[in-house]
Amino acid sequence: MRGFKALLATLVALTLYSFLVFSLYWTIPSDPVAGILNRSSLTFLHSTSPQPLRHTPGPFWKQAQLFYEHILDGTWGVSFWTGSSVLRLILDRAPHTLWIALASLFVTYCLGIGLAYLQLGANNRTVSFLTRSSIALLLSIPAFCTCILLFILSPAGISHLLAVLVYSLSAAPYLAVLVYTHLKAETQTPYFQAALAKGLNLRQVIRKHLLPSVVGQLLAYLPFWWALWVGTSLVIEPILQIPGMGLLAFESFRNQDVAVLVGLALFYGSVRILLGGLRDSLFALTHEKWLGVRAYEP
Amino acid sequence: MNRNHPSLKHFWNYFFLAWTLLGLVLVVLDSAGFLLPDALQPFWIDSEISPPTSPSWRHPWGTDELGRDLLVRLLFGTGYSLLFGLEVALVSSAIGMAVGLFLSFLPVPLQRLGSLSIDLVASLPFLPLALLVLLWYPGQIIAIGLLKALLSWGTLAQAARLQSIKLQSSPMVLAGRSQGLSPFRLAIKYVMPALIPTLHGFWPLFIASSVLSLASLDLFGLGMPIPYPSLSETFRQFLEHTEAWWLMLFPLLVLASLVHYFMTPQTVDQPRFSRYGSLHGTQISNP
Repeated sequence: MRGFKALLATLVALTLYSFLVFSLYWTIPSDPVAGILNRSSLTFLHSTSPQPLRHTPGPFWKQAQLFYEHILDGTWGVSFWTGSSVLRLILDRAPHTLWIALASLFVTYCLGIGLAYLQLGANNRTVSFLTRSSIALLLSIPAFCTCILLFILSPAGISHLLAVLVYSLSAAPYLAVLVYTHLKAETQTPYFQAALAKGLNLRQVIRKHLLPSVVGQLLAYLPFWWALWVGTSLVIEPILQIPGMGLLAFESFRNQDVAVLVGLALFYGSVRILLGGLRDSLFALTHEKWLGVRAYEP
Repeated sequence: MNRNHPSLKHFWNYFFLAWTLLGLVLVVLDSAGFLLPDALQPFWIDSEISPPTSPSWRHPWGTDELGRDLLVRLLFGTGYSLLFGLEVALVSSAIGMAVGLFLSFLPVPLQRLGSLSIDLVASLPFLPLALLVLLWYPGQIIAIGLLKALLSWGTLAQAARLQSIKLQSSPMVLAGRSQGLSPFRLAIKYVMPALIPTLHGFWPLFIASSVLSLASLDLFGLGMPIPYPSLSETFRQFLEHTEAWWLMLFPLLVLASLVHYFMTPQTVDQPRFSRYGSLHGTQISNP
């Protein structure tokens, strides 16, 4: 029941979100089409004339109706530049970005949890200092700087691998801090202290008792990683020339293709909301199990 | 090397404080029309050299591909980035605090609706929308700052709302309510001052996040209008002149220091987990 409610809330949120994107698009002063499509400047860049556009002059409700018609018919409007469906353009590029994001998610969790484990379980000051310094260093260096350095230093043809590395190195320190904070709070709980009092090794206690409680964190931050990587992909993909959604956004900007930019804003936000809904639904479904993990708490 | 050695820590803090203040002062003086010497002007091109030149006495951090002094441009870039960050932090804080406080005094169903709206606004991605805004307002850094602020206040609003709800059951607010104070007066007089520490925690994050966003846009020449100095313009030049290491090293140092200065202490510098203090000491003996 709770999972169903979360799903329903997600649908409502998606509808409201699409309306928000449309309103933003609509509130742009003057007629956006006339304003941005300087046809004389387009002619020497592209031979075909611009296609019929989504944004038509008219009352708000009529434009909103047209907007939602395009969403419901599965085209999401027509690209100003190529004349093809916006959703098709996005879905053509999406696999590159999504595969990189999935691979990065795995590496990020391995790296982030490992760093947090090292920081908490360090039994000497040197290890603790090195771990903290690594986290601080990785947090401070912007992802695009790491990307440029790796791009210059590495051989050609491994751009996807570099992207995974860059995404993971930018996200892992955040996860390490979050997991570390969570684990540290858990160390104040009676069950942890009881385990230590029984003579278990600190690292054993962390592995057996604390780390399972981090499972919630794995799900809770899904929308956060998505938002982080969306921002990163727009910078990384043009540098590494990965034909994903980030490069599509960049090309659309260069081509003044507003329809695709609006479509991308809609897609990015919708996926974030869907991930939030998925997290809530899974949390509702597995809540009892997680409660069971901590059932011996008073 | 002891990281917590007071002199080292103080030296670092003072050095970076001086750097950021100098950058801000230079930007303010330049914007106010003060005639700075050639060597301190961000647009001045040294015509006696063949750029890009490596660090020397004449240009301690080298020059960019046009022959402009890198040190001066990075100082100005820091100043502009901080002004941008301050704009975002000010607007975000104002909106976030106002919305959070307002929502906390509403009935629960309306609060839930408000919370959902905040999440929706927070779901809007900054960079695609920034590209959209830049199509209409090319080079308008204030418009980009406003967009960033309009998309950043959500987390603060949620934190302020939760904190305010907690405070509403505190004795001081209950006492104020029993005196017949209106919700508005209660919010302004009792709740808002107590939210200042929350706001204080968010400010550095706002600034660091804004500096990074601006740097991301600057990387493609979309942030600060050309030829204004920015922190990441030379990264683009470095991709074309890979032998000019100073085009990467010094901007990276400044940018990473700026992010570290504002963001990292908020997240990393927590008291170290003390095995023999908190765990084997009083906590265990007094569970």
